[in-house]
Amino acid sequence: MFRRKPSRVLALLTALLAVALVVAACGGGQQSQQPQEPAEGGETPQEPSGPTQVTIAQFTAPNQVFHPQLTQSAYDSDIAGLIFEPVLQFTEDLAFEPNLAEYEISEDQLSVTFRFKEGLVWSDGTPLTSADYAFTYLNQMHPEWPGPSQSIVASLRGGQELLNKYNELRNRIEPENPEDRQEGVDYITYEEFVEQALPLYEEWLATNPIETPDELTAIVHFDDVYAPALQTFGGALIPKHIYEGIPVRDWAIAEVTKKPPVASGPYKFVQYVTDQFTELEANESYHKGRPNIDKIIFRVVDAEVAIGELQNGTIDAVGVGASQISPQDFEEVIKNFSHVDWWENPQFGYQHMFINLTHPLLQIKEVRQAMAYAIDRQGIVDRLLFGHGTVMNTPFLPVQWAYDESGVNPYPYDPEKAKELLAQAGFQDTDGDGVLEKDGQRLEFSLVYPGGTSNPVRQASAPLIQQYLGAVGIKINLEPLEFNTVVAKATYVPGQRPDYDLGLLGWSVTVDPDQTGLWGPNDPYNFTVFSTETIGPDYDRAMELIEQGLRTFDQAERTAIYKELGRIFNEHLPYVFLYTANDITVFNKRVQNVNRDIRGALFNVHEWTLAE
Amino acid sequence: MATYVVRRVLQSIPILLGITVLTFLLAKAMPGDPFTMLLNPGITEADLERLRGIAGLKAPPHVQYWRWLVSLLQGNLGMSISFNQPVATIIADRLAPTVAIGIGSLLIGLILGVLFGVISAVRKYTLIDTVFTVGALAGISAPTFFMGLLAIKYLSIGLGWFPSSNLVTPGLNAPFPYNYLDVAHHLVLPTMVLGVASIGSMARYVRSGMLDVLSQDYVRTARAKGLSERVIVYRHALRNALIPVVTLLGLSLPGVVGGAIITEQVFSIPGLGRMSYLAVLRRDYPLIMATTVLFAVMTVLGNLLADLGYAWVDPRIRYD
Repeated sequence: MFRRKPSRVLALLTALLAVALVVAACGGGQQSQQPQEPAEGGETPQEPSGPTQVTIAQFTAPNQVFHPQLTQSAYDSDIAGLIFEPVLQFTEDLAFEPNLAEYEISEDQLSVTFRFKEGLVWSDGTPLTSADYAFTYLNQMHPEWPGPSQSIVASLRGGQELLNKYNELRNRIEPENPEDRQEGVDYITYEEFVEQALPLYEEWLATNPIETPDELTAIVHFDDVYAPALQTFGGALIPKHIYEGIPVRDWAIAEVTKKPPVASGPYKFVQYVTDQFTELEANESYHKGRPNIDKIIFRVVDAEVAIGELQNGTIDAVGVGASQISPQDFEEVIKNFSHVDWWENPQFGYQHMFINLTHPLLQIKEVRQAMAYAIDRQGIVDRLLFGHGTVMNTPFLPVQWAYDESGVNPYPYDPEKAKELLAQAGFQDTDGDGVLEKDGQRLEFSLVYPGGTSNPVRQASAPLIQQYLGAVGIKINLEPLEFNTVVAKATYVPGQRPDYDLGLLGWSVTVDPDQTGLWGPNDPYNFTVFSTETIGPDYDRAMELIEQGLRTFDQAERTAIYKELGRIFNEHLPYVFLYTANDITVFNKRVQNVNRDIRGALFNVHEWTLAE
Repeated sequence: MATYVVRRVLQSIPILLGITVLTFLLAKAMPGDPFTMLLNPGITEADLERLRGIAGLKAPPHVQYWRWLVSLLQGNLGMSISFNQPVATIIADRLAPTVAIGIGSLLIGLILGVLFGVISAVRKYTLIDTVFTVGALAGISAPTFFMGLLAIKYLSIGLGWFPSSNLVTPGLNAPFPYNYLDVAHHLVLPTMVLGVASIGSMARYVRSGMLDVLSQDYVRTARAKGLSERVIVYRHALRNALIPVVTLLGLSLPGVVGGAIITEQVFSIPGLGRMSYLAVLRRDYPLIMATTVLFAVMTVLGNLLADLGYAWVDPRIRYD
């Protein structure tokens, strides 16, 4: 008995070892079987010398939604951008120029005509035509469109009316919380909503909001002049012949979205290995000519590890697209590598401290302006971004044509001026605790911001802001929270007072300076409750300007409109605009001819070459 | 014995149900939902409502839970909201690497831990015992991300012996035996780092178990019979000291499946740990529920196995 017992211990251990080996083998099998599949039905067998390849670091794995309008992560967009070619492309000055099609804006500015180049094809040889164009955009108004912004496409003729009808129906869907049920409403289920919305969609389609008189022409009609039309309707197209049979609501989960079978851009999709890498290969039929590099690999790798791999040459590029290099890593490590080239460009995005304007003390304009003077924003750029960034004073980036700094208060770092403004507003430190107060109300606020792994520079700026504001008598309590919690706190629900005082977040920005969606009375992203009640009559003027900015294609006119709008934000400061960081791009010198301007390195990926 | 197992399995059903209800309530109580974090000025309230409708979030909570439970019983884990894939596929993709690393590191911890623990116990209060104790403390205290980055710096980037991250070499379309070797090569560093981290606690566990056994009467008897110290330690004492380790093994089952968030992050390994963490951050309710069920089942199963294993190796314990 005594002897047998211990052998069982051994038996257990041996069994465990066996299981480990089997599992390890299975794990290996599952992960490596995919590479064995011949790409595109074996059209491109591996040459003995091996294809040329460039490996780009991606710090976060894509969600495998490779569809130009459905991607919700910038990591997916970087990849989808190489597979799907946009109709229009940017010039170096961020104007639009023809790519797949020429465009023409009609006399009355109510329609845009796109004329496609002849002979365009998808990588499987199917012609790329105006039918793909209409298919791409019209489907975005489907009642079950699974992508984010239907409201933008609703600028199409009759689109807003259709959305309103959808919303009327949607408001009758049984509420999630039984307490929200109202008497006298004839509630429907979600399924019934879809059933009733579909005929409305069909009716709308019959009104031809996008006309395709022939294979090479698409005419887009609008109800009203829509200035960002070229940005919104000049994007990448999806292949009609691939998506046609698939229900629209399943597009985001469809196999063809995970593994796009055809491409119009410089590269074709080969495979994605979960959380590890995406492999792309040159598209022979790319309209600008076959790319020089045979393969592009986007490899998922931790930011810290990527630097080491850049150093030993197993990764060719970091800081491409959405994967941003930390300025500190760049200054302290990467800059010393002799085998890399680097350059920087302003980022399409900015960071801000948003302010709850419904808070009685924060509603006082002088308090907000005092905060802008009290925070050394240039100091934040110098210390945390190592100078790779620019201080902001309006919601417009210096690289946008709408940016105009004349007449804008730059709010230089001036703690004395801040104290003066606070004193003028009647705040005094009566009890000698270093915090100012008025009528018994102390200038003490909480500052919410995303902690964890999100944006380390922004996190580091929070304690600095606390120090700067503390120095002028405003006490800040830091409240780092998980990202989604911060956004949930900030998100505006009409009629409710937001549950925060101050917060830090960032916006990414499009080339077009339109501000729709950020400040309106029903916008979920109107974090600060920017409204007539909180800032006075200037709000109505701001709303008017945002609307006017959409209603002309004339850039000079729009610049004047956004200049006035910028001044309103600059005076009232619903946000203390902080900074816009620069994107630093680093390439191994063996990769040459990489585009260095603001359009990004991937803009001319087909022209890259490898040094011998 | 059989009745005991049946009873335990039946008992676990209400426990598992309770866990799912609690998880569901807690997940729903987190601020925000899967679409809060989209943060895109082009999105209106109507857009958010449409997306919630498609994701099935436009029904009362009890209806949502009931739908989830019914489809689970039909073997359908549902669709992940943030990954746009069936939950089963997402988990299946990540299960094998997670389990391989989990078991591999468990074995490293076990083998080296037992070895160091025995040596420490036999030579208690000597220099070597002190060295092992300090080493164990260091191993327990050193954060895995730090060990991971050190390993990458010296063994991967410095010496170039092992790849620094991922599971396969991109673009290497190797034939049969080499693709497995490629994966094994990639698995070495993460398994080692995770294994080293567990040696310390295992060694301390074995050491105290050994000391306990070595002071027992039957060991004294064995010594009195004139048996050699080697036979006493390895034949009589060690085998008994290992009995609690069997229990420990059963309890590590959920850990093997649960994955190691930090190690997976540092080595960019597609594992369940990182995935379940992302699921929570993204408020991906179906994925949160599925991982919870998986971990709960493993915990219940691990406990049961530990109890059974204990009875199997230790005849003093009987379940009826």
